[in-house]
Amino acid sequence: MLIWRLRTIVTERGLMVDYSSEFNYKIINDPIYGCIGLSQTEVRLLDTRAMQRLRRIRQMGFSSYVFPSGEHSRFVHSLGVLCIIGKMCEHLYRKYGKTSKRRNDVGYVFSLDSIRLLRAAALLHDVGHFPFSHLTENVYGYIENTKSAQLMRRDVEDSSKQDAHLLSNIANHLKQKEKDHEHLGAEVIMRDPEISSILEKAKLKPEDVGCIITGDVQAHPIYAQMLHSSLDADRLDYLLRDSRQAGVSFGKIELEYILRQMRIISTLISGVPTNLIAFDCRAQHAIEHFLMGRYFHYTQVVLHKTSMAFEAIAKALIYKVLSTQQETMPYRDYDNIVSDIGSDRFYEFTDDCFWQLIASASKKMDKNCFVKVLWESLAQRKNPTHVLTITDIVPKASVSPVSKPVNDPSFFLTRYFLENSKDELAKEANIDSKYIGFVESKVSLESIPSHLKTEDCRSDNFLDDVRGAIRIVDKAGKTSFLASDNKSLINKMVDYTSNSIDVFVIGDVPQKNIEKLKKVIKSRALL
Amino acid sequence: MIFKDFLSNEEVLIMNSTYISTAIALRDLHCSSLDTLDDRILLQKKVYLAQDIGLPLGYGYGWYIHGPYSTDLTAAAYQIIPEGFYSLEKKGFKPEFARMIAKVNALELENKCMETPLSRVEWYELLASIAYWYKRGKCELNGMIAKIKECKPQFTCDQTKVAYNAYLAFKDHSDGERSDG
Repeated sequence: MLIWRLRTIVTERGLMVDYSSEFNYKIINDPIYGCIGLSQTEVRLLDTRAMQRLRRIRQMGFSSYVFPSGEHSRFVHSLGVLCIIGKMCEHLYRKYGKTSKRRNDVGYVFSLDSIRLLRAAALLHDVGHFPFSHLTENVYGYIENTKSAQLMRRDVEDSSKQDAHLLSNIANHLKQKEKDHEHLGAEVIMRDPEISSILEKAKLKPEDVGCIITGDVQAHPIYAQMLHSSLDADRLDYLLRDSRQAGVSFGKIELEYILRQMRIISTLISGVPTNLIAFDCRAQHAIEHFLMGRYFHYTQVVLHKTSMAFEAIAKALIYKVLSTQQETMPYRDYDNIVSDIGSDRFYEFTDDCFWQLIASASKKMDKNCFVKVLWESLAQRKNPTHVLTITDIVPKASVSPVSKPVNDPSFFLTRYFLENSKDELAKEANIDSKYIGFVESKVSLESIPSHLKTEDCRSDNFLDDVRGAIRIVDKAGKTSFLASDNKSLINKMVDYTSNSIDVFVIGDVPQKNIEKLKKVIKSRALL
Repeated sequence: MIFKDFLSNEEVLIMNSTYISTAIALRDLHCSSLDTLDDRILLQKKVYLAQDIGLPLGYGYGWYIHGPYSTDLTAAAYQIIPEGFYSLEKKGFKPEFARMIAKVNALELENKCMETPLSRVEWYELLASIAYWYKRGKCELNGMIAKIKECKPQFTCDQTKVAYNAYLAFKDHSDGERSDG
């Protein structure tokens, strides 16, 4: 017995030595984690032109207009996500690796091949990112949506009238996942000759890596959970890194403790036994702390009213530039970008390049035209004049099959008047309607409603949300959603979103007109 | 989200403009419920078929248990349907695109599987599955029967054959209409 145990320990240690040497081929210093270890394949991937492109895409977009230290790149964030996935994998490998005695009842084996695949996906997860982070991918979505609405609908106003509502419409446009940076990333991984050959040389299929990045991993939901869930490596790194760079302390979380409480469980989804990640109940409070930290980081940093206004301005400007010069413009639509993969044009698809693009287009415009005003606001950081902010905590639309009328209507009345009567409001305040914008933001703690039980999960609905919701294993081994635990703080808050509307005005508008606008909105919305 | 407008005392809808085209499509496809699995399957498949003949809603579909499925469409539907279609009275598609919707609805009448009848939901599930594999090169009847047998064994060869022919007529007719328009 003793000899057998000793042999096991030696074998385990031997494997961990292999593990350690493979994934510490090169060490990179990092301000958050100290050292990040990389394998030889990962170093090669890091040196590709497609990955180096990420050095020139800032992680926080225009948040750095408010938090000036937030100038770090998608490149360092990618390394951070690799580091966290590495920590997750190391823990799961110890617990569920080939020689571990502590494997779970379903006999799930977490192999070195899985680790290589997951680490490659983590490193490459942002390789398809658009310039200025999420801002530009929304513009592309808006361009497509506008084009198709004009094509198929009889009620859509002509394009000359669109300027009047552009700032708000584009700021509040919801992105479509199918043409986002993750799907572009999957295309890059399959089409970029450098990346695909490095992966193939390492016996990794580019399409497998791409599927983890897009979350389309039906056969291995664990992989998707590690990179696409309410508590994944991506969210952990950006909370830690962005809050540190912004100079706020919402990212001070118990990372190591949370990761060490990761478990693999087997659960039934639509009657099919499925292996998923869950967390031991000992980590529940640390996880709740993470969710709260993330919530505050979003409300205070990501959705800061000034950076949201600048993002709206940048979106409107990029839209105007891309849509008015469509025929000759590079990067004119998503399909055009996909066709550029592997060429210099794709490697130059960065913040700097887009800045040059909008600068040269804007400079050609007449002094007082809309594009020029947008450009001057952005280039000179002319602070948009803040008119008012309304915040309300409201029930999520998906909680009840039929939404109930809201008791305090001021938030929705404001939203309604801004959406439907902006021209009248602008006229009363004597401000050109196109210079008035509003941004609506919503933040919630978890993706699923509190009433959803693990046993009610269906595979046909909210695939990502149900798969990505945080599961807790209690001391008796029973698994439930953190959101459904009625003794948790999160349970009391998941059915609500914090909604905000920020109204702003760009350009040189006299203060008395701003005051008038504020007064008109307030009187209409019963504030 | 719906609230009472104090001025008119009517229920007012605030819908994000991103979803308006989808809301019009769902209204006209008679997809107004998400309560049952059948409702959700029908919604997914009808929109898939409408896109297949050219309605540019832009939803990307993958293959899931019940055939073509779009997570983005699910998210949109859960925003739209609980709110109802109150504010869409003055909104609608141009005739060319309205005809596409009508054709998807009319497919219901082609459900003529004699030996083993199919429910409305099964019929649309089979049609959308055929459309999905047709797009991916399974254009011949025998190839399609084999593919459907592999991924949807609940459907018989006869049912697949009837649906395949209905799909070809639906697609051919639609292509003709579009080029005329």
